[in-house]
Amino acid sequence: NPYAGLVSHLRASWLSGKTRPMEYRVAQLEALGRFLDDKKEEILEATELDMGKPSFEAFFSEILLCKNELNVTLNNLCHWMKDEHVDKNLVMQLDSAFIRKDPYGVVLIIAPWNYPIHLFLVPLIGAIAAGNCAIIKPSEISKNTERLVAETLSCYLDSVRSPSCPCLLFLGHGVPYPASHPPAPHIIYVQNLLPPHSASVPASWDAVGEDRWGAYKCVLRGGVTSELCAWLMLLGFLSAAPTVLADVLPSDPAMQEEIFGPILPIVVIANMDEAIEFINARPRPLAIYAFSCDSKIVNQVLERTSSGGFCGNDTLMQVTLTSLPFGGIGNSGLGKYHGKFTFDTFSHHRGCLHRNMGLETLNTPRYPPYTQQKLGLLTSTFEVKRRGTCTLL
Amino acid sequence: AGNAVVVKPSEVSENTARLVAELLPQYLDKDLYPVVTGGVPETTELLTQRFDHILYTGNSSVGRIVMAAAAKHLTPVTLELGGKSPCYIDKDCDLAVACRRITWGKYMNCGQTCIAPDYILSCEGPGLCPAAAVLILPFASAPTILTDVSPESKVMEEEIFGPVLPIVTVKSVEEAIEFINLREKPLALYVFSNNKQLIKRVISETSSGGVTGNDVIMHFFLSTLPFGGVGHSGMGAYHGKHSFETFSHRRACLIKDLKMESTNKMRYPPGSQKKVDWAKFFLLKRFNKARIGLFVLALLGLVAAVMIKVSFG
Repeated sequence: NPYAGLVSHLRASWLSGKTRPMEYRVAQLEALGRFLDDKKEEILEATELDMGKPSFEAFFSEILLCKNELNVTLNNLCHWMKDEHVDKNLVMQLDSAFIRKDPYGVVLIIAPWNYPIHLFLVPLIGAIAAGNCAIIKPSEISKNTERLVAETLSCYLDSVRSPSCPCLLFLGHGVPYPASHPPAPHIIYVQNLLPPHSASVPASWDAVGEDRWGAYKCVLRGGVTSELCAWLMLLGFLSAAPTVLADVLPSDPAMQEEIFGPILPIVVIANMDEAIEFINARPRPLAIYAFSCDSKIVNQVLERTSSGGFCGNDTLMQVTLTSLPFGGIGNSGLGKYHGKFTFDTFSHHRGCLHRNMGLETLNTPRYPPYTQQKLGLLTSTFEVKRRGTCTLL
Repeated sequence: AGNAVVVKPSEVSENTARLVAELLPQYLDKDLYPVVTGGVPETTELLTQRFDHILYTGNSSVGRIVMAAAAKHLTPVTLELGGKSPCYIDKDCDLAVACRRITWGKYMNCGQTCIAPDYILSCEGPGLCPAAAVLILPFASAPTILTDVSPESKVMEEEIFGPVLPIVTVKSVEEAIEFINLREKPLALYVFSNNKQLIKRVISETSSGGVTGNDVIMHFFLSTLPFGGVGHSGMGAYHGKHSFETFSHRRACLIKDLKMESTNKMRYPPGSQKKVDWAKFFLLKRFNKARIGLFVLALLGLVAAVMIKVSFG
């Protein structure tokens, strides 16, 4: 195995205790900051080459959001690393009880291609902050970014790379949308040109036909689709072929798997209850979005569904807030990170109780020979009472 | 935390399993908290089903099986496993008190406690024996102390789930720390010393599920401390609020207002509302099904698109 030697070398470095002092972790994190500053242009170029990512978007997700995570971590690391003292019961009043944040050791971060810097760097920030060593495996699909990271990152970090890892963070899947298609807005009307169940379709929709260029043109009087189409035509000038699929049925191919490209199916439903039913009949998604001027509706959708995250009246924004955990549930994933959650994900929360050697007499009730009297004493000292069970006589 | 739960008690504690199966449904909603009894075949079958979280308490080998079964459904797991919980006794320590506390923890439940001190690391070596011997007498079943145990011996290979306490002699705390770190991370770690700094050092230079200093087992009884393992001794934790957290999904929620859209302008691609209005104008144009009309409109749309791109792009 080509990596066995690498990993055992890494584990030995970790066992040396090098990554434990806060100064070391801060130095590595600051180096990551310099990496983002120095290599900003190269990163924007690489992501542009890899998938045609507009530099506006690339700067926001690959540089700005990463720097935010870095700064939140650097600002708070001292506080996060501290032992967390916990409430004690009667018996342990003279003891010291705290949660120690221990690093796991050797971490493997496997990143996807769609946000190739962000999705390895943000976990890496937390892994380093928590005191681990890490192997970074960027996606081979985003070739240019992969090369950039492989060549330059080691100049900034105490270089380590690459098997048996106690903590695994898995991200992403899918194949890249071919950015090579010529940009042209497609507006496609799917299924029957005149839906037989027209009672459930808004009267503002009319079917058309095929134009010379192989794209259906959609005619609408107004409503959701036309608004979307208008914005998409605009976006079409910047990225490849944004597409809206109107009047999609649950059995359509577009509704079977995650769409990893600029295609937006619209499913017509009668009301919110049907929408909630539709969502709950399917695997739990990574995010759910609900738009309504009525906050009760937004809350209803939130209450009656389950997802990794949720945003009302907007999309994507919940992942830009470092104080919110980012992660999935069920099929959409497990665990969470961003901000302090990354630090916690890569730390073992070790329950510690430091007792007094003296006062041994207080311990006598617990030793055999067991007596009813001792049990009574133990119960009264260990017992936690349910609140509100006191009666004032 | 609001979940439905299937409870699978161990078939090894037959009577308790039977009792739980009979009584629990009389107290809890049996549609939501059923009890399933059985042995390995039944548990294996049960594990093929899809759960939203599995908590298993037991040994590492079965822990692997549970995790593998859960992986098929992407089910998160909490594994409370075991290991060899070391107990270091420093030279600077009240030996009598230490031994009493250790033997209590070791021989309770006939040594069948996952966080019982598994073995002792001590500079005293066999000298420790007399102190300990006196204290184990009140415990019922054949408590045994093994002295001068070699690290390679059989008793040092697996978790001891019985009243056998090996004592391994070490020359210093450094050697003890090295000894502990060469092995799999244990569920619990114990260190006895009057020297606070030494205890801090042992905690800092080792890793374990939990720690009790100057006593054994007691960290289990404080519900504000998370109880769980690390490495081969397990993953995840519970007790107190940690149980609630373990069985909850912390869902990130951001609720925005549909108003104040002007503040969002900066994130949209370069274009004014004008561009969108042009686009909508062409999109919303009604037309008949005549092919010619369609062609003309398509051409118009294309021209408009090019014009807009050229003038604003």
